[in-house]
Amino acid sequence: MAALSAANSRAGTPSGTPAKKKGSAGGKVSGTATPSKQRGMDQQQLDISGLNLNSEPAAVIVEEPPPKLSFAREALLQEAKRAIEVSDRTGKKGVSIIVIGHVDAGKSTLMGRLLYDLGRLDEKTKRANERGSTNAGKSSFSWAWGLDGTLEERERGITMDIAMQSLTTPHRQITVLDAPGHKDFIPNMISGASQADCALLVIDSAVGEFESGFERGGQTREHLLLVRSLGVSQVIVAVNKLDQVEWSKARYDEIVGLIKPFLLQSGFHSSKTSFVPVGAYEGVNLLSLSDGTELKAWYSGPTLVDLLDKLEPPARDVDSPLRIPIANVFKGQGQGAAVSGRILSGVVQVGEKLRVLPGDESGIVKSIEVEEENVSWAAAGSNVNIQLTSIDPVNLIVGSVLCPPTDLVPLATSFVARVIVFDIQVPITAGSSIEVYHHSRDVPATTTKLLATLDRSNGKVIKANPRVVAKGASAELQLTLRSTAVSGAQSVVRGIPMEPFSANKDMGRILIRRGGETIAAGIVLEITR
Amino acid sequence: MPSQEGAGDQNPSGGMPAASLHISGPVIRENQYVRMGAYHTLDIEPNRDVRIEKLEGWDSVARSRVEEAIVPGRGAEVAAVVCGEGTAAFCLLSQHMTIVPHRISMSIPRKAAAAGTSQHEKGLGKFYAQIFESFLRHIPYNAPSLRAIVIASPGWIRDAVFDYLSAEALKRGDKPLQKALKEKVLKVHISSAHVHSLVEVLKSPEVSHQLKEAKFAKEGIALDRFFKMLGSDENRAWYGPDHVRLASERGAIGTLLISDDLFRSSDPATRKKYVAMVEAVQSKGGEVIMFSSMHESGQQLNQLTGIAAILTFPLDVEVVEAEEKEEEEERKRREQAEADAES
Repeated sequence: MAALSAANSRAGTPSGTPAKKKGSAGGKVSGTATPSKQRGMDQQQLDISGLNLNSEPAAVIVEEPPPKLSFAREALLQEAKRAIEVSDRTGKKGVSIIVIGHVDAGKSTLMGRLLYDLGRLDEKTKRANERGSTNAGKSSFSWAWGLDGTLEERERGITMDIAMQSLTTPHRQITVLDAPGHKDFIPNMISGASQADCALLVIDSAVGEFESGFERGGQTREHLLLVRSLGVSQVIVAVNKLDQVEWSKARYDEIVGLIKPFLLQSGFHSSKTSFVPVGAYEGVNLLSLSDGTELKAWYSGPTLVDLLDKLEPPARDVDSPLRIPIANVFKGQGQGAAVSGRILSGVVQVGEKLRVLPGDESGIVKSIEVEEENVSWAAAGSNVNIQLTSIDPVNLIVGSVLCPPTDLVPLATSFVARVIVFDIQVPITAGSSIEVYHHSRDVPATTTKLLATLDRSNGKVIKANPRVVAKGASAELQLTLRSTAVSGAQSVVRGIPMEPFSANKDMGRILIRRGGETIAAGIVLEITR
Repeated sequence: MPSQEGAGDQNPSGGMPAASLHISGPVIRENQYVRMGAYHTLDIEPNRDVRIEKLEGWDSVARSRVEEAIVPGRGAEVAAVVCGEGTAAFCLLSQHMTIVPHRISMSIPRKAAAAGTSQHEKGLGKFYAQIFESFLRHIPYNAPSLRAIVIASPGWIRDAVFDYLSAEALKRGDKPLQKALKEKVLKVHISSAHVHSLVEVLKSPEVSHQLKEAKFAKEGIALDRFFKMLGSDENRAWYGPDHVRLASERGAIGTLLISDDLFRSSDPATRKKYVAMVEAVQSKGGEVIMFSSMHESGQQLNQLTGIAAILTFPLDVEVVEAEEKEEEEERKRREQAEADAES
């Protein structure tokens, strides 16, 4: 880790500027300046006194001093840029990838096997999973159990939520997000996809299975459209379960022939797509393809790891203000709570004060973890775990956004979006009840106004104020979040943190779903309220 | 008797069904008890005779509303628990309204390699326990009028919730709850855990079969039919007051979907316009479904301008509008000509 060592060696050297920051961020020093935090402490004391832990009160109540800031912001920015440059030249580039595909295509199995082959899953766990899955009568799920950790997932043999793992190839440090394939868990899949740079599409090549995943309503199509709309442009297509069709080249070519035009049509450039035949369960063509196998007879191209090793991380937006949408909140070590998520833009360092939006609370970064290693700072593009102190965990909610107190994300309850409508049965009317997905959050909303239908190629207005927007169209819509109250007093709708696409690309992408079907994807043009 | 329209002041005891209604206003016809022009407040309560007259008489819509309201059988007919991972909304649906007496929203740590799955499972356990407590408190599962208890969710949370409720009822030896769970619970799949998925609940075959007669079930089905028609034949599904009026004038309306919100307009002319439209459709043999805006389906219709129609034969909006414009011009020309002739 060149970046890490560089950061550590510099830690503490510039002492003038951070001292000032420390004062403003410190819980004890300036407690009166921020009443909300003061309240948090009182609450804590109350809670503790309620527990009757009077034996060592002093030890419990004293708040630990906030960690020192090691860099001034400008110095940190330069440091981050330099580190990224260095890692681009010599070290391993970090890239995150989401594994997508129809339910039961073998996504989790493929990742489980890959983790084992790369030495990330130890022998003991592997044995335990094999034993456990055989006992449960589901021996074919043994690899998937490496990622499907919860009881229910194992019982049903289905991934229900994103599993995050990391693996290392010769030139890349890869964060893997294993997505659920079942259509009911698409919200979770969207939450994962918004944290990824590239996609790995897994396809079940068994007769009938590929077809059912690829036809209308299959997840192969929907997932591809979703990741593309969320800004993923590189995709590796792993054609799996070829062992079930006797490693037939004809079948492989047929599948590739069908997927290729669809990828093009969905907006993936052909130079950024690649195909690889694999047998996940047996581990064929993941790391290497041994001689004498049936696949070797007709395939001599790259293996899956070869392709993963060539993924190009997109440009990172280090200069923009910090934005971290929270994807998970859990109890970390010590006080406060841990959150995980992806840094969309900017840099974050230990000791920094971060505001949680929506809400009035802020917390202090106690530690940052990237790829299971503690670091003193992290920059855009990293998937991080952050331990926050001086904040009540109830104020940390999945879907909220962390940002610097000086550069807040606007909260939107009504906005204009330019969308592309997918292949839908029922057209979109003014007043349709829809759900808006933005990172890990989904909220009910209404299309208050259909502003215009646009020409897909040049963006010119075809018709202003159309009555309906039909499938395949591009349109500008006015969307308004709905109050969730059905009857009684209309409650106030809380805005969600969101920015126009022009201000921050990753904060300006939305997906629109209705009745369990993704109907449109687009970008936020303007926040109106 | 004082008979001036006044501000209806609902009893402030929110939540509970109002037991009385205050009506206030100046007296416009004096009698021996009240003076002319004095402000007076009347309490309207159950079991007290009252006669409310309107200068021009009550319209058909208002009268049919009253007819509907005096049908016996009160209280919630269906209870629904709409849940997702970490969220649950308890809903009670009665003839004319949906209320959401309680919501749960807690954050459950998602599964994560770093933290293991134990936090996730602990969180889920707490969530189910909270659902159980709220279920006991907010769902009148014993009431005989309650016909069904719907547990709806995407994924399999509804199964897990139901299993937890049953197991807990068994553990506590709560016989009535066990019975209610066995006889009344329907598990329904919905696509998202928001309250607006109630519409999906109502149109699901399990529920709509049980509740064929219930008004709110009819509303959900009609709205669904409208959207389907919009998808298959745009020219037979119209919405918006102006468009629907045009369709009504051409006698094309097969089913009129109208929200009761429109009849609450403070402008009597608007109210009368809609009453006339309803009567016109009915006189031509069309079906009129009045949506209650206190239901989710009514809310959705309100979003869609509050009025929509399924036509019996296709009509092109643009063609009709063009015809209309022509007629208008024709009329103007004629008026102009007449005016010219006169002068």
